[in-house]
Amino acid sequence: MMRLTRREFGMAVVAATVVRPILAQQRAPNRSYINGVQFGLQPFCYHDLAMTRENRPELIRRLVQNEMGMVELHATWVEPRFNTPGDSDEQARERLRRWRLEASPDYYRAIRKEFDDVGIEIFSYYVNFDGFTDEELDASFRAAKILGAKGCVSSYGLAFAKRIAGFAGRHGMFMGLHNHANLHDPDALATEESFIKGLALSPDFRVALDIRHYTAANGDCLAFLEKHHGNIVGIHLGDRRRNGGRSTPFGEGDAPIIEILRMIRDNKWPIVALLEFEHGTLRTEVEEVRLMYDYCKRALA
Amino acid sequence: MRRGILIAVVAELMVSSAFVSGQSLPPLRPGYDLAYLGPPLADPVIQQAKETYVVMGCAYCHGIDLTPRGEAADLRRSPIVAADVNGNRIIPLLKAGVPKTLKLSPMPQYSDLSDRQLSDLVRWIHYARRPAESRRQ
Repeated sequence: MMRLTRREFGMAVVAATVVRPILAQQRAPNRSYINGVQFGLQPFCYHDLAMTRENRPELIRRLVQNEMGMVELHATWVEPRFNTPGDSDEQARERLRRWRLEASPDYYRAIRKEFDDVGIEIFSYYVNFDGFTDEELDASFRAAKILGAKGCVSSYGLAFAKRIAGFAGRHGMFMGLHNHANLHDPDALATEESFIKGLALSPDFRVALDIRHYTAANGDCLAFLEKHHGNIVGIHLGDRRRNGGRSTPFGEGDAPIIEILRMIRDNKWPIVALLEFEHGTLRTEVEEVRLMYDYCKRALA
Repeated sequence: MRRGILIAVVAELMVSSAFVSGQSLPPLRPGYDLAYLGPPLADPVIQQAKETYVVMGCAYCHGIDLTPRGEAADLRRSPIVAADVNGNRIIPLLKAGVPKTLKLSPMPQYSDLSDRQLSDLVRWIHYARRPAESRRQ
């Protein structure tokens, strides 16, 4: 029988008592719960819309138009920008740091209400944590919690993951490890092996699997889901070609979108499917999201 | 609402400018995102190049007008683009991508594109990089 060290036992207890209940909360269906799969949107899809807090009303309008009930909200939709003419990048960064530490909980409550009022849940809060102080990290998790998010997601490598280990757990949240397709950088999250290393760093780390990039990095998405579904909180759903290939409309690349959606449905896994794509289109982005979403709905019909 | 008004105004301007110049602009494709992509260019070759650039996803990172987002290279200041003659530098890079990088998201490879599509991408990059006043309309 495998023996656990005291540290491993402690991590297992935290995982069982903190993260599991968080994941269980995902099961409440909403507007974009389709035939057993909870869908949402990563608003990068609206390529033409600058991700600023001033554009948040338009973002919400589009999400409703696209019949989305869940979103992964990037912090830039929430936070101000301080890049005023004459100020250096360092000055702007410092002002933003101060703003984060001083922002009132009511500020975030008001934003949550904007989404609540139209029936959209903020599933996760996407923050580029690079360069954050400990106080900023805590402030961001506090903000995410007030917004209603179950956790934060960010893009970084293993070294930085080690740096932020433990922050999410003390706020009762998960920290999503998000992959790209970089097979050259040994620090990058891109392969199953790198995810396993990342997950070992903290009991509150979970996987936010980007199936486009995982496919482009020649990973086997179905095998990964089969093996690690218990640690996956969400997937970024889109299509790309293998061997570092380009992004494509759904169904034109190598990502097994249909099989993944059916796998989630048939196994009743509480994994949120967040539409996210980088392929280009001459149509409006709202129309493109509708078409990609329709593709997913047909897969589950 | 504002978007609708903007589209109507841009469409009106397109019709008027075509009338004044005596040119007939190509018809818009159904669903063409006029507000984001701008009015179709008078030269159908350049317009085709622009559409290929957008559809292949280049605009997502490098910007339609070459204003980059995030960690993407700034093609306006790229020495590779500056040194390119008829695609001799850009096309090999497109076919191979840029896998050896420490950036989070390496540039994809576009080896599945046809010669025509690759040439379109090169054509648009060179066109968009020129000062606005020197572009043919």
